[in-house]
Formats: sequence, structure tokens, C-alpha cells
Amino acid sequence: MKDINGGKLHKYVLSYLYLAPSLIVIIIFLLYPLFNSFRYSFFQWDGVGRMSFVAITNYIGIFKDAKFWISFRANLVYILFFSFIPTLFGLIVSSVVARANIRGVRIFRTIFFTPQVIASVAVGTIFGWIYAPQFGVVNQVLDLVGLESFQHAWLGSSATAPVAVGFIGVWLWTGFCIIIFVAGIQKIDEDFYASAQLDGANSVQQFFHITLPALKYEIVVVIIMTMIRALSTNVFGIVSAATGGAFGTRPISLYAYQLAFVQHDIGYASSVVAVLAVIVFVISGLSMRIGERE
Amino acid sequence: MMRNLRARVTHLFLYVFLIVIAFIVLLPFFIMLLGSFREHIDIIIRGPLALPKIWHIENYYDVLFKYRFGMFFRNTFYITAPTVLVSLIFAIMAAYSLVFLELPLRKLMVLLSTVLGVMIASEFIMIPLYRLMNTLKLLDTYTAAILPQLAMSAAFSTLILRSFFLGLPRDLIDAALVDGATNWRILWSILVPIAKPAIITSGALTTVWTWNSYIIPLVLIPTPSKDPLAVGLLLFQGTYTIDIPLTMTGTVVTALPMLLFYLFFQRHIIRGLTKGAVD
Amino acid sequence: MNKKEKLNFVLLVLVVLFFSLSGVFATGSQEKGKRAEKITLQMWDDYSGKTRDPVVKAAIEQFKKLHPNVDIQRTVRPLKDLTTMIIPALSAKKGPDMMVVNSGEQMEGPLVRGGHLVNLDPYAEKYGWTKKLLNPSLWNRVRYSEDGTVFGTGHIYGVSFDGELVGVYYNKDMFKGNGLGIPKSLDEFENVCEKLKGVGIAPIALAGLKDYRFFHLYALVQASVLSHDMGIEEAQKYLEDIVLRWKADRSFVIPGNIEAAKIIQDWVRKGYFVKGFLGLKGSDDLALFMAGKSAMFVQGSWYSTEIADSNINAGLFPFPPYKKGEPFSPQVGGATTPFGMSKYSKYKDLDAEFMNILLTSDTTVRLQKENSVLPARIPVSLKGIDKNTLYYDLLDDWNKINESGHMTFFLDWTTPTMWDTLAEGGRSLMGMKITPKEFVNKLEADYLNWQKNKPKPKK
Repeated sequence: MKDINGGKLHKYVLSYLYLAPSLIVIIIFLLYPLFNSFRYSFFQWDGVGRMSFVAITNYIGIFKDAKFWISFRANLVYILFFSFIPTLFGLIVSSVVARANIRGVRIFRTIFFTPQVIASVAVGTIFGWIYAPQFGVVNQVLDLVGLESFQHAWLGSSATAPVAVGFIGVWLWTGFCIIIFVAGIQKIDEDFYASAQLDGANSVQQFFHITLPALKYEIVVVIIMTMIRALSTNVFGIVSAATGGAFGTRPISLYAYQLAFVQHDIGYASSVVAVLAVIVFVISGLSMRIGERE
Repeated sequence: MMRNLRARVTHLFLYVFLIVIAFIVLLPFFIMLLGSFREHIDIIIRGPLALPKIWHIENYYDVLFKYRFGMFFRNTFYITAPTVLVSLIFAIMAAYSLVFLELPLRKLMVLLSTVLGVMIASEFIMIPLYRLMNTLKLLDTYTAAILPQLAMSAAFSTLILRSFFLGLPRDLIDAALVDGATNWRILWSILVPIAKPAIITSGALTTVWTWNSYIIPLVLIPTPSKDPLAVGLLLFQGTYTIDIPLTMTGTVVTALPMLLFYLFFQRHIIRGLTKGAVD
Repeated sequence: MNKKEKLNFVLLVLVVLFFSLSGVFATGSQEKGKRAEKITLQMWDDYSGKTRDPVVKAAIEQFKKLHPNVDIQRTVRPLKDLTTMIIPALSAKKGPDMMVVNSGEQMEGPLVRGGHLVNLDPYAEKYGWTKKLLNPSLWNRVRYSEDGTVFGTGHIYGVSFDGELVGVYYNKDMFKGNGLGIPKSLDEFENVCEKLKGVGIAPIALAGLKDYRFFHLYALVQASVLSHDMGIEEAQKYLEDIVLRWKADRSFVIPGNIEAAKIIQDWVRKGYFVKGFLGLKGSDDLALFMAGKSAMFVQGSWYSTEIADSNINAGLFPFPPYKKGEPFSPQVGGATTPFGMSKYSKYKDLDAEFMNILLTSDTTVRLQKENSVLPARIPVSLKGIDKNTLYYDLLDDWNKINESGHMTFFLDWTTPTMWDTLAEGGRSLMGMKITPKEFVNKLEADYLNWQKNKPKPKK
């Protein structure tokens, strides 16, 4: 990019000046505590007593810990349902809807945004009712259409519970993805489509050659965002309220929290968090790298 | 004639499709709304979707006045408003620097100010964060709840804005630069108006997330009269039982301002989205 | 801004004002006049709800009369959130003056070992708490040695003002309507379940997703079986050796524990639990019971007020002994989650005075009786209480328990990881994924792990 004010050093200082406010708060209030948290992972500590140094014992423990791997599997399911599937649905729906002139767009937009607004506790409780064994919505609907044999305690077995929770993720994020992608598509100049049409390209080809590349950045952002929510914050609240982590639904973040505040093993919890952080970081970094290449 | 009919049918199809999705999306909200007027036992017996036999409007009265949700609303506002506004300003500046200015160690800075900031969830840093606030003598103040969330929101908004800036057509920027304007002017007079949809979107999301966040205020602000709405909701949860109708009512009351807020700002999104971005 | 925008903005401001103002009307004046020695005691508790909140409020009132310049500010939260608040606060040497501390290794152990709690023996001595309330074996449950390495003996670190027990709530009408009496043995209990199932009533409501539903039931069954196997005295000793004293020479792997697990698994097979119970969330099972959709609910006295207020005619009976005629089987229970004092409190004597009021005042007992709560002051006089009420059953059970001096435990107190082990193990057991022996082995593995990691006394 063209530089505006001459002088290299002056330029660099200026650049950092713009970046500084954001960077400083992030470093002080996020990275520094995270670093401390990381430090705890090398100790054994119950949070209120003395700390004793144990080097990498906690990390070795993670590999042998069956509960960790169950949680890891849960998170994989959640990545699929909270991130990939909504993104995919979002792309498909938005590519069809974005260029059609729909009235009442504002209402739809608000409706699709609604899931984000409800606190996780309520979301978990409500879906607990939707999936409930006797009076739950799903089972009652199955009853109505004559499929009683399919009735099940959806949250009550490790075969179905993680996927059931996964569907909550689809509900939560698809609407949002639609909103973002629609906005992104509407940014594209209609002329591109017009000329492609003239050249004889059909809708599918238009999608892959015009829409998708133009949405490159939106896709990366959406994936990173949903992925991170799938790995930490969202699932924490929802799973807590819906199943409490039973039947293989407990994500790593909830496991770490219980390790720290229920089992009083802050050191081990910190090591689990560190591993989780590395996973998140690698995935996000990769998404960025791949997505932003041409 | 044929083409018109086909277009119309497709159009209708689209509408129906969207309405079905909207219906599914709204279902839980509907259950929540109904739940706020019903009794828990009633929900169990007749299922979550039945209409209330008696409409317990007193739940709303109780929540707003007896349980002081008005006060919680004010507190939430004290925390959320500064967090979002300041984080947007920080993010706009940061994104500008990351995309348009010459920055040594750019790649590292990108990671630090976006990904790393976004992925740190509050549960993981509670204990060190508490100690930090203790050292800074900020415990039990709104500021303590604002600062970490400010950082998280700034990181997120930077991520969104950076992507948006990267996706802008080159000629737009070059045209502005030719005028010989200063960085500051370019950023605020030209880029920000164009970036309005991205700003509104990230602003709306960070507002909602901060509005509903509860762990940071729970641990850093013990005084009950300073609780935000999300912590106030805990009033209805005992260690053994949870008062379902009141929780539903509380959640509706908490969510409603956010919905109104979003509905309100839609207008700006539409305006910003008009194709005449470059006039 | 154009006209429409201005209008919307004004509307927004009005909405914000409305919400904020309703808060002001509710809270009233914010600032009280600052008098010279105004003291505020901070108290973090989970005593919400009809069973405990009135008692605490009344005690605060009484306290204020004695000390008008002292304010007690409560922060009321669910227990798990309190724990999340307590750990960072106390480790930074801050936090409240008094707080609820979950029993045993759930919270009390680490806090004692970290030196954050005040030894309450001097105050107990001064005010005579151990003489006036509960019985010695119940007091043992809040005792830790000075260095916090031995549980169940030593100094008192927490006090409780009411008692709790786990029993079998039952729907009187359903029982009467089907000619069922209160079962006096395990066999009779199973017969009752079978009969109820036969007429299409779900015998027991239990939420599979609520962790402690299972292990409260298990402890009851276990106590019944063990008392039969070893005799009551031995059984009590065995339980105390494991839960309180973490004796290395004791093991979970004994036939009694395995049989108890098998019994519960058989009940699942025979369909004695509500359909789909594994996917049922906590408090939904209570709702099912109160809605008249199941006959029994095996849970604690903390639900008594709600159940008494509901539309069904409910009673409670203690879990029966293994064989008819055997002595009263140990029930799960004890004193409620204890209440402790922080070492960093600047007003320890004032704290203790408040505790005393809370524990021993007549108002406390009176309010407890009004709300069907089990008082810590025992034995409780049954005079004037309607024989047909749930409360009568509860008090009767409570008196019997205290009289017998035997009580089993909330098994999760044993180790920090025991809660999770019991919850997950229980679900696997009831989901038919593991055998009773495997279940007991899991408990044993957890126990052995704790033997390695448990705090050792400093020599």
C-alpha cells in the first residue's frame, strides 16, 4: 500500500500507534492471565493451598486420561455441528436467497439472529424439554406421525446425546451464517453474474466461480468464530444446562472447569486448557492461512 | 409470460422455505415465552408447546420489581455499553493498521490481536484475572468486568473488520489515497462509512455476548447490587432446584432489549449495504 | 440525523430510561447515611428458597437489633457458583467474612489445608453449640484435623442450622388406591414397585442427567445391604472409615456394595424407573412426581416445602432394612452444607455472634417448623403437628435417625473426584453398560488413586 507520511521509523511507530490500544488491552487482560494459567499447569495446586512443582506430569496424565479423550471426541462432534454444518447450510441458503428480492428482509434477519440472544442456560433447559423422554417435543412429534418406535431418551445415551447437542449448534449458528453470507453476497457487483449468465454459465458454476471466491474472507471469519465457540464458550453453557456433561457430551472446556473448581486440581485443569488452546490456535491459524490464500 | 410464472413460483418457494427455517429457529424462543407464563408442572404434563391455561403475568411483575431486574438492566448497560463502544474504536484502528499500514512483524501482530484474543474464553483465566484485578485494586468495580471483555470484543471485531478491509476492491482505496488525505481522515471519513455493515455486525455480536456473559462479573464483582442480568438470573437457581417459570421470564426480560436493539439497527445495515457503496 | 432516526433514537432512550427507573423504584434509596463505625459483614451463601431464606433473614433482623451499626450483606448464589467465586477470592486472601463451604473434600478440606478457615471450637465451646444441636456423629462431619489431613475428627470448621435426610417420598393416594402399605423390607419395597408397574404407574421418578440422584439412592440401598451383611455397628464403622477417615485398609470391593449395585440394575431391567429416565433432567423428575405421574421420589428433605405445597398428597418413609424386623437402616443425611468463617475476616467475634443467633435462636426453630424444615435442634417435638402431613413424616424420620445415631453419607465427600466417578459410573450401571462388579471397581480405583494423592500429615 502507498505510504502516506514519509520516513520509515515514523511510519512504523505510527502503525503501531494505531494497533496499540487494542493490542495493549489484549496483552494485559487476556494474554498475561493466560500465561499465568499456563504457568499453573506445571504445578499441582488445589487453588487455595500450596503449589508444588510437578513439571510435565500433568501433560503426561492427559494422554492416559480416558475422560479427556471422551471430551475430545465430544468437541469433534461439536466442531462438525456448530461450525461446518451451519457454514455449509448458510452458504447454500444464502446463495439462493441473497439475490432474490425478498420483502420483509429485516424481519427474517432479526429472526435468524434470535438464537444468539438467548442465554445458554435457557437454551440448554429448553432443549432439555425438546429432547425429554415423555413430554418432549421430538418424541411427541414422532408420536403424531406414527413413528413411536423411534422414540428415545435423546439425551440419555452416549449414542445419541452428543449429536442431539450438536443439533443445538446447527440451530444456533445457521441463521447467523445466512445473515453474514447474504451480506457478503450482496456486496458483489451484479454485473459479474450478468456477464457470466451471458457467457452461458449456470447457477452452480456461478456459485463456485463468483460467489465462493468473493466470500473468501467471510467464510474464514465464520469458520474461525464458530469453531472457537464450538470449542469453548458456547458449548460450555449449553451442555452444562442441557446434560451437565453426561453421556459423552462433556466438552473439554467443561471438563477443565470441573477439574479446577470441583476436583480442585487447578494444575491439571490448566494443562488441559493449554492443550485446548493449542488445538484452537492451530485450527484458527490454519483456517486463516488456507482461506486467505488465493 | 412463462418466465414470469416460473420466477413467481420460485419466489414463492423461497418464501415458504425461509418461513419454515424461521419457524424452526423461533421454536425454542416460543417455548421460552410460553414457559414464562406457565407452571413447571404444567409444562411437564402437557408438554412445552401447550398454551397456558392461566396466564401468570405476575411472573413479569415479580422479575422486574421484586427481583430488581431493572437494576440489573442498568448494571448490564454500564458494563456492555463502554465495552462495545470502546472495543469498536480500538478494533477499527487496529484493523486499519493491520491491513493498510506498513507493519513490521505483521503476521505475528495479526495473530496476537485477533486469533489469540478471540480464543481465550473467560473460564480459563478466572483465577489469574482475579489476582490481576486485585493487584490493580479494581475488584468489585464495573471496570473490572469491562476490561477483559473489552479485550475479547476488540480482538473479535478486529478479526471481522480486517477480513472486511481485505475484501474491499483495490481501486476504492487507491482512489482515496490519491486525494492525499491523512491516515486518520481516510480511516474515519472514508473507510468507516463503507465498513458500516461489518462494524454493525461485530458490534451487535459483541454486544449480545457481553450482555449475556456471566462468569467474569460473577467472580470479579461480588456485590449483588452491581450484578448484571446474567448473574441476576442465578437468583432463580437454587443449589437443588431451579425455578423454571421465573428463569424463563428472566431470560425473556434479558433477551428482549437485545432483540429490540438489533431490530433497531437493521436500518443502518440496509443503508450501508446499498450497492452504491462507491458513489 | 433525519426525522425518523431522531424519533427512533428518542424511543430507544425512553425504553432505556424505563428499565433503569424501575430498578430505582425497587431498590429505594441507595446511600445510607455514613455513621462513624459502620461495619459491613460479607456473607456468601446458597440459602435461597423457602426452606432457608426466611431463617437467615430473621437471624439478620435479630442481629441488627443487637448491633445497629453492623450491616450484613448477603450474596446468594447456587453452590457451584459460590465455589467458583470462593476459590479465586480466598487464594488471594480476600472474599467474604462468612461463607457456605461444601462438605468434606468438596470444599472444606482444601480450605482447611490452605489455612483459610477459622477453627470454631472456641466459639462452639462458648455458646454450647455441640450440646444444643445435632448429635456427635453429625458434628464429626464438619471436623478436620488442624492441618486438614484427617477428616472426621479434630476441630470444627463449619456449622449448620438445619438437618437434611434422604428418604422415599411417596404418593399416598396412589398407595392407598392400590392397597399398598409402607414397605418394611427390601423385598416388600420391590413388591410395591412390581404392583405399581402392573397397574401402569411408574414406580420411581429419577433424573438420569442429574448426577446425585443416582448416588443418593445407591447409598440408601448400600446401607440397607451392608447393615444386613455386617450388622449396623460394623456397617457404620465401615462407612466412616472410608468416607471420613480414608483408611487404606478398607476397600470398596465387598459383596455388599456389589449387591447394592446389582439391585439397582435389576430395578432398571424390571422397569421400576420412569420411562426414558436416563434422558430426564434434574427437577423434571420432581415435577413428574408432583404432577402425579409417578409414585415415588427418592430424594432429600430440601424438596419438602415444594412437595408439601404441591397438589398431591405426599408422605415420606425411610428406606427399609434388608429383611423385615431388622433394625432401622442408616439413612443418608446429616447437617446441611456447613457455614464457615474466613481467616481474613476482621470481625470474627461478630461473625460468631451472628452464627450463634442463626443456630440457636427460637425464631430459627419456629420458622423451620413453619416451612417444614428439619431443625438442627433435636429431638424435635412432634406435638401439634398433624399426623397426616409430610412434615410429620419427615420429623419422625429425623428423630428416629438421630436416636439411632447411625447415618450413612453423601458418598461424594470421600474424594474430590468421587462425585464424577459415582455420576458417570451410575449412569453406565443404569444404562446397562457395565456390571455391578465393574461399577464397584470404578469406585475402588478412585479410592486407591486418592490414597496415593491424599494429603499426608506433615511430620
